[in-house]
Amino acid sequence: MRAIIQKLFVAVFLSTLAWAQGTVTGTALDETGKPLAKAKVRVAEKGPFGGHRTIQYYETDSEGHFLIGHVPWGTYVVVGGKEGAGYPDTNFAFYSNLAVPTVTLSPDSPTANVDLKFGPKAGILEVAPVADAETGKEIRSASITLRRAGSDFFMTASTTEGRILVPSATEVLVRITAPGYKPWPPTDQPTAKGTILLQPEEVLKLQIALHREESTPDQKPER
Amino acid sequence: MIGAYGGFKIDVKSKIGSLDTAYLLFDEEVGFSALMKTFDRNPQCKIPQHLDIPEAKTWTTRAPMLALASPDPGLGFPQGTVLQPEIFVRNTTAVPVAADVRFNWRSNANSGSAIGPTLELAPYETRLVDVAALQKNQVIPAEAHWASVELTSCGRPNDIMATAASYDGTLRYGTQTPFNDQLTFHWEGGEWHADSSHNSIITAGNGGSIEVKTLFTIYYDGGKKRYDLEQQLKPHEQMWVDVGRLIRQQLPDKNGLLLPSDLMMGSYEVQDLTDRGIGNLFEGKVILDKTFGHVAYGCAMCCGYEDPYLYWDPIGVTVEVEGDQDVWAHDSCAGVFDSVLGDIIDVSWGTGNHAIATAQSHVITGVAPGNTTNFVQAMLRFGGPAAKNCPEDPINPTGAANVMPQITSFDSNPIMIGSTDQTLTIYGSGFGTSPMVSLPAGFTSTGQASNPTQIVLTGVSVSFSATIGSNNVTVTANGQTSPPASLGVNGPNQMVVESDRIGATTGNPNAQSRFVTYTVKNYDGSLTANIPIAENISYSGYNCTQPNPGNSSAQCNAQYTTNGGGGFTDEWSMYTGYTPAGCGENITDHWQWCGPTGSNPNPGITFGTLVGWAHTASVDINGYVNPPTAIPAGTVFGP
Repeated sequence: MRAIIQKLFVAVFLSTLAWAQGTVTGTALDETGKPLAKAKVRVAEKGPFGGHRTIQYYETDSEGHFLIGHVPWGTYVVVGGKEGAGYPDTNFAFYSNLAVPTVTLSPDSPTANVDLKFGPKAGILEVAPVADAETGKEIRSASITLRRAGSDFFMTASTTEGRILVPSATEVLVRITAPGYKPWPPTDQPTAKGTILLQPEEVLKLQIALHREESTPDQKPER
Repeated sequence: MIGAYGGFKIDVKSKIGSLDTAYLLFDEEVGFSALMKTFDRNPQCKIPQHLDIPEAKTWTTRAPMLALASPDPGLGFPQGTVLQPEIFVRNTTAVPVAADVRFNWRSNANSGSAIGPTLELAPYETRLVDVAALQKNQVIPAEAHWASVELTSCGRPNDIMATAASYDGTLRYGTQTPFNDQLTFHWEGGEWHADSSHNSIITAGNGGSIEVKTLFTIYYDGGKKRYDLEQQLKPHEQMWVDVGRLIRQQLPDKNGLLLPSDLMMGSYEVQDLTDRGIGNLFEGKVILDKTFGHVAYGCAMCCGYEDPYLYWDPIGVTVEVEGDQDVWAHDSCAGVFDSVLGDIIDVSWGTGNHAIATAQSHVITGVAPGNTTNFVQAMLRFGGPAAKNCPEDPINPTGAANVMPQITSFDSNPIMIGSTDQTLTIYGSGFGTSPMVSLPAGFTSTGQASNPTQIVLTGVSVSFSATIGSNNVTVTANGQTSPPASLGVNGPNQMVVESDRIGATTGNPNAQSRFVTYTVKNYDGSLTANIPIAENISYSGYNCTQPNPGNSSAQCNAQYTTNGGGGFTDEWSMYTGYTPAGCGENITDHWQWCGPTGSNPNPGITFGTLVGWAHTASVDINGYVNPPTAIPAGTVFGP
């Protein structure tokens, strides 16, 4: 009898879990308040996390609407972007600066509706292939780290991506590193801070050559 | 010696080298016997061709050690023994042939040359040259012990043949010395004996037209030690080595080394140090049995090629396609096996069945599927056609030739995994009327029609158990199986990195969260779009103080798909507040395709594998630890 009761309990619990899911709906809007079609949107659980999880984005329709179902009870931030149009993914705090909507789903409040406002558009950093200062060969292992001035929020990406969005009207520190090479800007030149400040859709081309760890980097940023 | 004498010949009409002979001469009454040499003669061979010297007009054969009437004391014959040196010269042709005889003689104190009679030989005549009489007449000094004999003619090679022998009246004491036209730069000798009952006398002569530096080497102690003698030899000159004397008298070699006084046997070699490409040396050796008075003539091997064989045996060619055959042999001079294709002359290539394969020079061409032979008849000469005086050997290596059908293409290729009731056409040659097709695992078909160049399979299905990627297909016809041809099975089998970013996230600002976006591509490079994907993931080694926060992964339940461009994003992270700093867990993540329906196959088919770890300070994916190193865009991860 005890075994039967246990199985019943497990079945009821799983059934409850299956129903413990809410829905988040909303509209993605640009900085003028117009609907933003084909934007990527997702909900991200708030709080500590470690390990691995799959990420599922949802695309807004032609009127900027989105619907995210099967969301377990909990508190979430609603993030997204449309990088091709100049709106970076607010999933990264470096871009959002934590200014995103938050929703809480529970049995008492199984649905939530938010307006997800994007903008202003980001500036654009066009990173030319980072080269070895001596040989001129591309360093494909080079990475670029962007950090909001006065903040801990950063993002590191491969320089091979070429085109990286940068929060506009925001002072951002740029640092390029590669294994076996001195970083740019050089740490032994305090005046070379690598700080950039871009306006929306402003393009900054960055061409960097790194020196090997024994030997001064060349820098040719041009607007 | 008294009695009749003459010559004989054996004609062989079949292939070169198909007959060998042995010739024994004996006298039962006196207990005499001698193993006689017979000679190969190609009546088509001309002197310039034989010697590969276009301007060559004469041909010379040599007997290196004719014991003269007064025997060398080193032979150990009883005091007073008188030998009767004689040379029998035979004209093997139906026309008169003239031959000149020359003696290069040697006594204990002197050496020199003597011109013998010019022999006008009638057709098929065998002529006796009484060398003893020449000594009596002082043409050759009476005190001379040895002579090398040169027979020179203007006819074809081996038009005249000769044998030289020296025996006393009882036929008990004596020796013979065979004629040979070989000259080379490197002779490898066999065994020599020198002890209380044996002795060995070895000679090397210059048969060329230039002076040469000659190196004679004795090997002993299992070939580990050597004793070198060096001598300049003018044309017609010889060096003589009495091995027993070198040991008894402890004579030093050119390096001051001595042979051990108790040394009894070893081997030897003779080298022409002046002309190592062609060589000018001839060589001879006698071993004396002092107990019985027997003197056995031995000769060194002209090092060169031996045991020729076809390199490709069997050689496999496909219908209407050519394959290069090669002839290899063991090079006993260098001790290696090598191609002798450039060293054969008078070459004739062939196959056993022209309906299956043909031979054009050393190129074998497939005609129809099947098995036959291929062979070459040729004369093999060490040093090749450019070599002047190296010996020629007839060779006839034979091997198998397999002619296989050939697949040239498929329609369609690749074929999608999971597809059913498809038509697969195989194009090629040599399929015959009832070919058998071997399809990759996971393939089935229900019908087949064919002609020699095309096979059409109908009702072809490719199950999910098939292998995405390149698969082998073969066709067997007339017992021969084609080389495998690649038939692609299409499906997701790679994930290409589009972006790799790490940083604090809006929902989890106190973690290093790494988001990698991949594009899933098919085997043929095309993008997947909205395909159901899942993970087969495992974790290990979690070592943070705080409870494991858990993981989530995609299952084959049609809930998780790539986007319209084939992309998806994967997150690996570890909360920075966990302790101790740097703690985390290991992750192995197999990303899989769950088939068109999203649930079959389940588990799915892996198209990319990620191995690494998530720590509080950084995340490793397939060896890229970020920060500081992001995965370059375009990096491909496979299953």
